[in-house]
Amino acid sequence: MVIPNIWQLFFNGLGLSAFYALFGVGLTLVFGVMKIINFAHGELYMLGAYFVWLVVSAGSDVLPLIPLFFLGLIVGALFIGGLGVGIERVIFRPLRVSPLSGFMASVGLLYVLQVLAGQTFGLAKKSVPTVFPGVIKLADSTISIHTIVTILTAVILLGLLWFFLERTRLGQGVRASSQDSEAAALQGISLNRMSAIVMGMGSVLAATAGALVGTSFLITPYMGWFVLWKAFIVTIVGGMGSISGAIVAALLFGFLDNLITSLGEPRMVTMIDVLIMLVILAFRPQGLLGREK
Amino acid sequence: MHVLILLLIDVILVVSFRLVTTMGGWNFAHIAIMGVGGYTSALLTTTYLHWSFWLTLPLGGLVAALVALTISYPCLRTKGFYFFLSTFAAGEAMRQAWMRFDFFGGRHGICPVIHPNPILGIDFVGAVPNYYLVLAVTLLSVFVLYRLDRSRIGATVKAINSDEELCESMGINTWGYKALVFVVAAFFAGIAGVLLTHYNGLVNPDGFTVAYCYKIITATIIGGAAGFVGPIIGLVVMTGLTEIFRDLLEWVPLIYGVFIIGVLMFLPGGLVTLPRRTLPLIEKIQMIGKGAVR
Repeated sequence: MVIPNIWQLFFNGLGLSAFYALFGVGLTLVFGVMKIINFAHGELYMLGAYFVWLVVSAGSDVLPLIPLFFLGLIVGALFIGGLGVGIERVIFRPLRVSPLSGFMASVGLLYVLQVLAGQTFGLAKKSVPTVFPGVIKLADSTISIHTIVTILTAVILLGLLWFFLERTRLGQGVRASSQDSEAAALQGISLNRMSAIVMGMGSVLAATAGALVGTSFLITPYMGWFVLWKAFIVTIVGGMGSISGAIVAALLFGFLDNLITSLGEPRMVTMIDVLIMLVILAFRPQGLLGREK
Repeated sequence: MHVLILLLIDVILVVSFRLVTTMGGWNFAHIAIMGVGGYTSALLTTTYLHWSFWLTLPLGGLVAALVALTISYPCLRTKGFYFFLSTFAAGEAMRQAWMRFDFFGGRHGICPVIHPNPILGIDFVGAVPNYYLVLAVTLLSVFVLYRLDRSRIGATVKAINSDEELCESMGINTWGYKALVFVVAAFFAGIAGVLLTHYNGLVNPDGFTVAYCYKIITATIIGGAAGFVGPIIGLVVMTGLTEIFRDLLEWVPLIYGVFIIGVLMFLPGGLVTLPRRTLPLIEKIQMIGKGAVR
């Protein structure tokens, strides 16, 4: 067994945490206001990766790779954000009456998006040329530029989200809706409007996570499934609907998963994570930072 | 024949799955628990012990029930969304365990698994005897589950679902009833797993993915979970659709998806409520046809 360098572990773990946080926060944000677990969240992430692939392969003669990547990311995030708002309006809003229908419809949506992506882009795996090649040396460890970009993107987006939720009136509305939608409605905060906002934001976060992953891994129509269960664990352990909880849990599992993988046992990751989740559920069902319900 | 056998096995699955939904939980570990049954039987009949299929058929169910009992402790502490998220993750962990440990044959699973041992002079080699075997077990399972659904226990569980606190205050051991339902459903899922494993002649982790679980859930949603027959109708409709669109196999999930969303939005109780909803409409049309405008 190789004893891994502690700083190396730290940076790689942080990179993984950043990805978990981008993906998980969107899921928990949507749940907070809409009380719907969006099973199709992974498919929005998958579409984010395809958008980057589309833009990069279409414009590879016109622009250099890095601006092209950001163009793909932004175009994808805007489009998928719009798609998210559309889904909220057309599917989730009419189904709000019964708590489970929204979730079940999202299972249906998952099928639809997977097939559409598979038929549009083909079932063959796609890959984007490495956008951020190279590494930098820091504290006798090697960190890939890609990891740094992922961490920076997560910090910037989550920072913006924090600013929006804590410092703007609209963000206060979202938080109020998430705490008690009826009481918020009595104050004139429209649940419809807040739902559309969080669904749009959650989709943008998912698309960004997908775009970042798409540049370093293969892109397939089914890539969303593999991340979704991890996001479930992160959001449960953090506490459903709690954004700070999701970030804490993302950090916890990012470091832990990376440590387990570095010790040469990648196949143990799921089992250990689930065990932790079951223990948390048995002793603190509302999650680490979840509200008592 | 092949399609029918798989359909019958799925019938056991949806009916036992629905049993768990009557207590208000969507058990995403159902298929993994089914796998526990399959693996148990495969290990006992093949690798070391060469036990008889007729012994491992109930044993597979029992081991599945035991595993369910273990995960019921953390999972039943949770309700609604947490319940299905935790069962989802627990099921995935089981699947990972089968892949991780060589004892279960790793990624390739266990292959070959014997056909059911000959009994009463019947050899279970071709599809036909297997069909009758599965048919018999399915009918028996459905009968037992139907009786359970209609019994006092079934009624109590539904009462717990509609108001758990009230039931508790009336002295009903809500936890016990919920765990009972969860474990009984797991027993039948395990039986279905044993049947599937011995019919296929192999067992591997890819046979029990979330996709299979979605299929069971979709059938339950399309048919409607409120009544006993709903999920079976849903399953038959889905199997029919799959057969009709056989040449467009990659589009089938899309059809399922559209079906789920359509049913939820326009027919919230599932297909079973279709006659009840359309009858008044038809009568109205007939009234107009008769010249109800006097």
